[in-house]
Amino acid sequence: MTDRDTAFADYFAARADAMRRTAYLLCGDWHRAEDLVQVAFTKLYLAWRRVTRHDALDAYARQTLVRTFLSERRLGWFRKESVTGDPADTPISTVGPEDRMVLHAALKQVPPGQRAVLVLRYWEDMSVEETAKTLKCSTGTVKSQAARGLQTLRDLLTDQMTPTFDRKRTS
Amino acid sequence: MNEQELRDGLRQVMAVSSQPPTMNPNTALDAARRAHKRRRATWAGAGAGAAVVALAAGTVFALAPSGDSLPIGPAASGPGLAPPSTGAAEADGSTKTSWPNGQVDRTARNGARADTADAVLAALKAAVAPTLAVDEKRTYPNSDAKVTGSQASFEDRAGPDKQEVWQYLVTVAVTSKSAPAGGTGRVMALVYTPGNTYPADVCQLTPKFWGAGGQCETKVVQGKTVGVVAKPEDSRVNTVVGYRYDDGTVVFVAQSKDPDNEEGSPAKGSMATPPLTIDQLAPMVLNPAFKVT
Repeated sequence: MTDRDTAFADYFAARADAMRRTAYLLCGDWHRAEDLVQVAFTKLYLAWRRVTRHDALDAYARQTLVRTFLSERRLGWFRKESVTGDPADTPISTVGPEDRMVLHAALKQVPPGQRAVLVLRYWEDMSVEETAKTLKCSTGTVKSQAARGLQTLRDLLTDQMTPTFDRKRTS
Repeated sequence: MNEQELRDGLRQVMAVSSQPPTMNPNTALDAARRAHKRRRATWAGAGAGAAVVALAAGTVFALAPSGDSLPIGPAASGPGLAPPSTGAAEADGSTKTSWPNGQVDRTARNGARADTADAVLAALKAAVAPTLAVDEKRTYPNSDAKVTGSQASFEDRAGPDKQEVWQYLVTVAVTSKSAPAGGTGRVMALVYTPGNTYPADVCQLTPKFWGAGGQCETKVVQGKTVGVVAKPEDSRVNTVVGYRYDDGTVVFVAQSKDPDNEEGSPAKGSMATPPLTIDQLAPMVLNPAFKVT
């Protein structure tokens, strides 16, 4: 095993689970999350010598992950792979609105660009500037996408809670 | 739901979700090594075929009249060029985004804005023509999308009258006319219409191109002061020049010795040096054809 391989394997062991959690929030299911992490780490491996000269390895890895997610959406990969409307590990519909998994279901319906901003800002706790750099957009875009994403979430949660309450009343 | 509630909610989502077993580093390493081998094999094959391609290209240039080219890129419209889709933004009618002109996302794929982006692209092609050849066919890795292309994107609404702010990004893949086999690089122009939030100071402005950072120096070109970042911190670009007009229009021109933004080993078809010198690149930022609304 070369030095690069050893360093890569060590870094993967240290960071893969954290990146998979971010990927899970981005894409909505663990299987795709693992695929995204694998693709992102493969890109990282190819760029290893160049990237490790910088101190911002984590930022680069996170940026690669998010861009991989967004580019796969743009290329239509996700739609081709999604043979059912709901992935296997979607939370069951009988979960009550008080359950936070409802939030996860709603998050999956937020447009990918807005979702990426929400995940980076409120899961990764990145600043507006860091988020803008990661997504290669302006800070104004990050702010507007975050606001729209939150509004979309509010609307979706309102829509989801109403029929669930109705079901409970009638059961 | 406010920001803090979302932050707390995401952590609770993760707390109640049953995570799969930890991923195996050896499996990941094996996959990465295979990708590395594939890349090396691809470039070895590309090198072997370069002579054939050069012969074919020479034949085409000999037969075709020069100067005419079709608009190619994400903003070009036509029956054979389906625009890229953003998926959920189209499928999800519940979103509250208010894109102008009936767009389904930020990108204007036809109409006046797309035409403006095409015009900027044509101007950039003309500007690089004296020293560089434009490669119209180069595509991004693992994609059919052309490197040479234009994109008009709605940025925001600004001010009390909700003035639309637009961004035009155009890219040309280029090869050296004197050494066509010397790799492919890129020259880019990025224009923001008035109402944008970019700073007036050119040396605060210029490092903001793609958040590339780097040490900026001013340079006087044609009597006007432009910002120049000769070594951006972002490895995707090698030089950035920025200028802001009095009306707020912001123009960046940038170049890369790489044909795309993929990170990888140096031998992937890149040029040995950036396509243009700083003295060649800097005046391009003042090209009046880039000052669009």
